[in-house]
Amino acid sequence: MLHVSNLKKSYSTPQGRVDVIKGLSFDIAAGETVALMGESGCGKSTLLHVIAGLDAIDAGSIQVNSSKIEELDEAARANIRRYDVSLIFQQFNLITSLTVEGNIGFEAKLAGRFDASWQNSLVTRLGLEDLLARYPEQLSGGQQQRVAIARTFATKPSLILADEPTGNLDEATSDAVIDLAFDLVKETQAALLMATHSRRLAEKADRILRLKGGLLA
Amino acid sequence: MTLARQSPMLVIATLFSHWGKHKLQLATLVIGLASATALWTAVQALNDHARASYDRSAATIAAFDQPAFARPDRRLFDDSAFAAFRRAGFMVTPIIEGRLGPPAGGLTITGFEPLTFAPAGETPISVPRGENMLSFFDAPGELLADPTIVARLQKLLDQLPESERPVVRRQENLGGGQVLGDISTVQRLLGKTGLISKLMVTEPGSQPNAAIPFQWQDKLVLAEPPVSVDLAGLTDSFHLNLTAFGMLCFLVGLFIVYSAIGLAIEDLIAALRTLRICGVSLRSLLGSLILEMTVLALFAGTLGILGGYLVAAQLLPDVSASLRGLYGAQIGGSLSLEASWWLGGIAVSLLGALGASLGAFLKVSRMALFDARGASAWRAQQTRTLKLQATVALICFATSSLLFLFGSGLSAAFIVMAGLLLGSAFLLPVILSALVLSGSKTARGPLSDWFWADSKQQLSGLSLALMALLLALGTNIGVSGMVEGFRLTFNEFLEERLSADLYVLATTNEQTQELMDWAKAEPAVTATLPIWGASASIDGHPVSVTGFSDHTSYRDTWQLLQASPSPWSETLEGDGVLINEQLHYRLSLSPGHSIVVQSETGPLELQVAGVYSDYGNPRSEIRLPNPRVAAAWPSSERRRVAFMTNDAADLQKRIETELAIPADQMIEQKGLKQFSQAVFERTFVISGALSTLTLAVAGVAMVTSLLTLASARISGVAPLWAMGVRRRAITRLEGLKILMLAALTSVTAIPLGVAITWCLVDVINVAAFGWRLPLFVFPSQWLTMGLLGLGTAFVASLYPLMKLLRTPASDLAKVFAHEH
Repeated sequence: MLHVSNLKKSYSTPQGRVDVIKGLSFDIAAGETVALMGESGCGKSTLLHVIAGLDAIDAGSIQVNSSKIEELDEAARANIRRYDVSLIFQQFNLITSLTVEGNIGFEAKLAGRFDASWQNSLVTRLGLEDLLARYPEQLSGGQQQRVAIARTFATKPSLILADEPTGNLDEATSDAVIDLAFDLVKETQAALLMATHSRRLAEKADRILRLKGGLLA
Repeated sequence: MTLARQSPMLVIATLFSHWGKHKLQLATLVIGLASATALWTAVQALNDHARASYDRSAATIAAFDQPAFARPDRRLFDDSAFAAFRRAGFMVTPIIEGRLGPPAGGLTITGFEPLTFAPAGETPISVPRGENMLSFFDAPGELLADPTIVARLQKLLDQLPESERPVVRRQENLGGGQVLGDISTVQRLLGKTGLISKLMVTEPGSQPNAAIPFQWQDKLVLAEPPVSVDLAGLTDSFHLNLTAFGMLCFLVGLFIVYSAIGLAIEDLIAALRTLRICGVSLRSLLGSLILEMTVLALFAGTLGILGGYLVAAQLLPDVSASLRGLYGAQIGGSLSLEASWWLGGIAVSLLGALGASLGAFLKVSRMALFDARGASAWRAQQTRTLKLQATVALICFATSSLLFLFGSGLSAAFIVMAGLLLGSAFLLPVILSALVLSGSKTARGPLSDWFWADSKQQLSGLSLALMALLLALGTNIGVSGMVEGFRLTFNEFLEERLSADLYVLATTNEQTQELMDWAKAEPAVTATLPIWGASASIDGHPVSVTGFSDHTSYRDTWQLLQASPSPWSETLEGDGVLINEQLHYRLSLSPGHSIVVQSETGPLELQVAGVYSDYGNPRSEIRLPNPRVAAAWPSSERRRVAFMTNDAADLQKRIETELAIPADQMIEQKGLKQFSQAVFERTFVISGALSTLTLAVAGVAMVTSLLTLASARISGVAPLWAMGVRRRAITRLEGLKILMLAALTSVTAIPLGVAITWCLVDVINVAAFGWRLPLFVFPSQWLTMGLLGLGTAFVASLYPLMKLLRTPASDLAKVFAHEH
């Protein structure tokens, strides 16, 4: 599903060039959940961004399904995000001008995969029935993240990239949210790569990747 | 040392470091404040400059407006009277007055005798003394001139042989377009050697009891000076108009400042909260904020004053032309940066900055030290703001309506318009919110949903810029509608009034009689219409008296605004009188009312028979048949005669040849219309220039708002990009959103513009000038203004949109990153 090979990425800073990722290679299969761990600043977010095509890589290869990200132009990378890859962020990144219902259906409608009954089932399973008419600002952090998860799964993507999805949530809420997400991954046979600092949550995943010094430890 | 003790410097350093990181916000604030100060200062400078000119003019005219011995028919008389009067013990000085050059465009010239001329009180006239007196006397002599007309005077004098050409000296304090010279020089220039206009009394309290010299007893009478025109009073409405425009520009500029400070405080609120948590008192925090704003206001105010000087210098020629066209007031000289300007400009800048910051200061004083919510509750806040704006709008409209119904005078008229403008501005976000909500119901698809929802959300950030755009477009539609309507009315009015083909100004009353006798025997003349003139008063209110002939052209072409059942026969045969619209409003006179006009022969009781429009005339006027003018005002001026003929050019040539009336004292109907229309065009140049400036400031408001919002927009649209919407599509939608909001604002500006036109023609013009115009609407102007509004929004959005389009992917990705 996801094939990363000898990936390299660096940034220019006022202090000079910093090599964030120095040659990573790994694979994730459909239906697999993988936790990505490492110290702050080790490049976890960068890795997720380059896989999603949000940022360009310096060298190596990223293959999502049959598409090689580094060979795609911006429009094609946008299409990959629209149809194959979905992101969940620590800050939730919901669209503040839309209601909960509008947010959940937004990505699926964009991808032309809106399925009302599937959305309803997600809403029920994530306990969002009473919140549909509300706006993001009227929700707690846990509720917002459940909306973000519902939005992601409503699209039925083949790859989900989650960047510290529970970083703003308490332990109990984190557990509940991650358990739900992992169940949905198994059910939809998507692949999940989740950056996290929480060993406890990471251990719930099928596999853990540890990033250190720009390489897998 | 605790943080609280060293807080002032720390707080100020924190505040100023914000501007270092947000240079665009700083630039926005300074530009807004500087433009507001510049436009306000420019208008004040123009007003002060004009008023100083009026004072100089009044002082110059006052020096010659003293009791004087003159002929009742105002004809010139022999200057030997001067010696006779002095010998008899009268303290008098000889004066000759006349016009150099053609009647339209000529210059008023006054000759005096410097040895006996002793103006009372302070005077701007520097009478040459000592050695200078010799060159003043000796041929070709010297002329002292108001600096504004030196060039025109020189051009007239250039037609003389060099040996006869007097030296022109600019006299800075001289006003009113006056030219002064030694009596012999002026007599020679006017071709009136040995003649004078009057013997002005130099010491009114010390005249001998003796009778005036025998040989002059039947010829000269002691006359009081005529009621002079109070230019300052007359032009008050014009300056109030300018001030209102200046205030509007200032308000539009403050919108920018308010918006920039609001955004800055949003960015700063976390840092301010931290400072408070660290022990900085609220008083210290607010004091520092005020100090910061004061420093910025001083800087922006200084820039604004310099900018205001440049704007005022640029507009001065148009203001002069408007004042000359409307009131005959001469404004000139060059502007100088005076201390009062600096102080006034800085004060306005300070007050503006602190006024615009009040909301921000209030927000800081009320901020909670712990903010539990991550995202700002924009929806609840927007709803609260919309409710408040709707309430303020209603209050403005209510005030406006009450003053319209029960108020009077120009100030009330301006408050009516201010209420309309402010009420509409505050109502705009409410209207736009409702329109966007309706639009959202037509949404099909996720991007369309987002488009409408995000438009509603963005309204809060853009509403100030859109309000500024509304005010600018509304004012432009309103002012241009009034000017265009006036143009139509004025042209029709000229067609109606200038029905004669040739207008002649005879040199003397005797020459007029000669001219009319000549015309009787002239087959080419189909009608001769003499126009007599005099000055009078009604209850102390000065009025001009104009005589007319009994001719069908008046009855057929003059449209009376109000009339008794048979106004013409009442006026021609009875005791009826026609009054102009200005007098109708000023003294609340209507057909059927009785008036008592003070004439030279005593009170004249008349009945108002009709009211006629008299656009462009600042004075009150009454019209009576010529014979009644001649009877009641024996010394009336009888020099104007209009002729109807098939060939005006030929008639003009023959009058010139056969009666020796100079060509520049005659004007054909076509020429007079052109001249009047040219005066009209120049009159409204200043209004056009100021409304364009308002639009420019609104454009700046739009640009600065969009620029300051641009960085916030990136985090707003990044989730869409992350979900696979291309940046080009996002940019297109962002542009479309701004254009849509600008288009809706432009549409809203149309009814506001029409309301402003109505207010101008029906309320302000009546109060200011004394005439009411019919209300015309010009849909083509609306279209132009709508396109201009869209163009302004398009240009303003270009840079922020290009910035969004060109933001590197890595920067967009940072929105989601909490680490590398």
